[in-house]
Amino acid sequence: MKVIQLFKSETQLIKRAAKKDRKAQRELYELHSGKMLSVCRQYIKDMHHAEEVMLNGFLKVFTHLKDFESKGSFEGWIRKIMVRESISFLRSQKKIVFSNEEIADPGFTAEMNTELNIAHIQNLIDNLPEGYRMVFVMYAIEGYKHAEIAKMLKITEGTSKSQLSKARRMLQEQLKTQNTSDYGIK
Amino acid sequence: MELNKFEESLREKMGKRQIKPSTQSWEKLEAKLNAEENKTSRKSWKYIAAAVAVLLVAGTFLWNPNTSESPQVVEEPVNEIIEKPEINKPENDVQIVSKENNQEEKNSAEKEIKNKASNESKPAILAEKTSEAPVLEEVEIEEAVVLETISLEPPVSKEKLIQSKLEEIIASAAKNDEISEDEVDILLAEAASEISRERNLNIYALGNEINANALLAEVEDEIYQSFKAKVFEVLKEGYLKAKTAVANRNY
Repeated sequence: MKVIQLFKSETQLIKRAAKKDRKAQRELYELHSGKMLSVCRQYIKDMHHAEEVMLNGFLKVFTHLKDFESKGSFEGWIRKIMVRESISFLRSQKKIVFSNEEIADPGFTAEMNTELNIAHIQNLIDNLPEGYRMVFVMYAIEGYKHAEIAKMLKITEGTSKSQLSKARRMLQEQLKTQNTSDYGIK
Repeated sequence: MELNKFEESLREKMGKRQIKPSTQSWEKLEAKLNAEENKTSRKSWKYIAAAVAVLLVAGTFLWNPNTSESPQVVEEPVNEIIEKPEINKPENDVQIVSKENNQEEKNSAEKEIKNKASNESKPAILAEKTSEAPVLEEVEIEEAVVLETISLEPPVSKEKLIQSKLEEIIASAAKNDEISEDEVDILLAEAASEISRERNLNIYALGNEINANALLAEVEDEIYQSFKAKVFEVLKEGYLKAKTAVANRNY
C-alpha cells in the first residue's frame, strides 16, 4: 500500500511540477537531489562543480518535464540527464583524454577486497584520469553498454572497451599498493 | 567483459549513496528556474504577437469584400459550360448526318450494284429500270461525294488542331533558342491539356448526350486554375500591404 501511495504521489508531484508548481518541484528536488549529487560526484572530483552540474541537471529536468513519459522510472530519467550533464561539463573542461592504445583486459581477481567503504571507493575512482573514470563509472556503476557509452561520448566502441580495461588495471594496481601498505601498518 | 564481484559491490554501494547538497542549493535552483521561465515567457510572447499579426493580415485579405476573386471562380466554369456545347453543335450535326449518310450510301451502293448486275444480265427485259438507274446513280453519287467530304472533316480538323499546336510550340521554340526544359514542359503540358479538352468536348457533344466525366474534368481544371491564381493574388497583395505597412510605420 505504501509503495503504491508513494508512486501515486510521485506521479502527482511530476504533474504539478510540470505546471511550474514550485512546491512540487521542491519536493521532487528534495526526493532526488541526494542520489543525483552522488551520481555527478562519481564523474566530477570537485564537489562544488558536481553540485553546480547537478543543479543544471535539475533545471533541465524541470524545464523538460513535459517530455517525460511516465512509462519508465522518473529516477532513471533524471539520472540519465545527470550523466549527460556531467559528461558535457567534463567536455567543456577539456580534460578528457582517450588513449587508443589496446590493452588486454585484466578483469579483477577474486581475492580482491570487496569490503571497501564508500569514501575509499570514491577515492579510487577519483584517482583515475577523466577518460578512464567516465567509461568505468558508466559501465561498472551505471550499467551502460559499450555501444551506449560510445554514442554518448562520441567515441568508438573499441575505445570505450580499451578505456575500461585500462581503468580496471589501474584500479587493481591501486588496490594492491593500498593492501600492502595496510598490511605494513598492521 | 562481465562485471565481477568487485564491480558489483561498487555498483551496490555507489547506487545507494546519497550526498546532501549544500543548504542554499534549492534557492540557487529556484533562481535558475525563474530566470529560465522569464526567458521562455518573453520568447512565447514574441511568438504570440507574431501569430496575432499574421492572423490579422490574413484575415483582412480573406474578409475584404473588395477582392473580386471569389465571384470569378463561380462564374467562369458556368460560362464555359454553356458556351462550349454551342460552339461544337454544328460539328456534331455534321458527324451525325455523316453517319446516317454513310449508311444511306452503303445501302444505295448495294442497290446500285444489284441494279447494275441486273442491268447487265437482263438489259432487254429491264429497259425501263435501266433508264431510271443512271438518274438514281447520278444523284446518289453526288450525294455520296458531298457526304464523303463532310464526313471526312472532323478527323481532319482534330489532326489539324494537334498539328497546329505542335507547330506553334515548335515555332515558339525556334524563335528563341534559349527556352529552358521547364518552359518546354509547360508548353507541352498546356498543349496536351488543350487537346484533351477538345477531345472531351467532342465526346460529350456526341449524340447530344453530355458526358458527366468530361464535364467534371473541365470544371475541376477550371477551379484548379482559378484557385491557384487566387492564392498567388492573395499572397502578392498581402506582401504588398505588409511592405507598405512597414514602410509607413514611423509616420
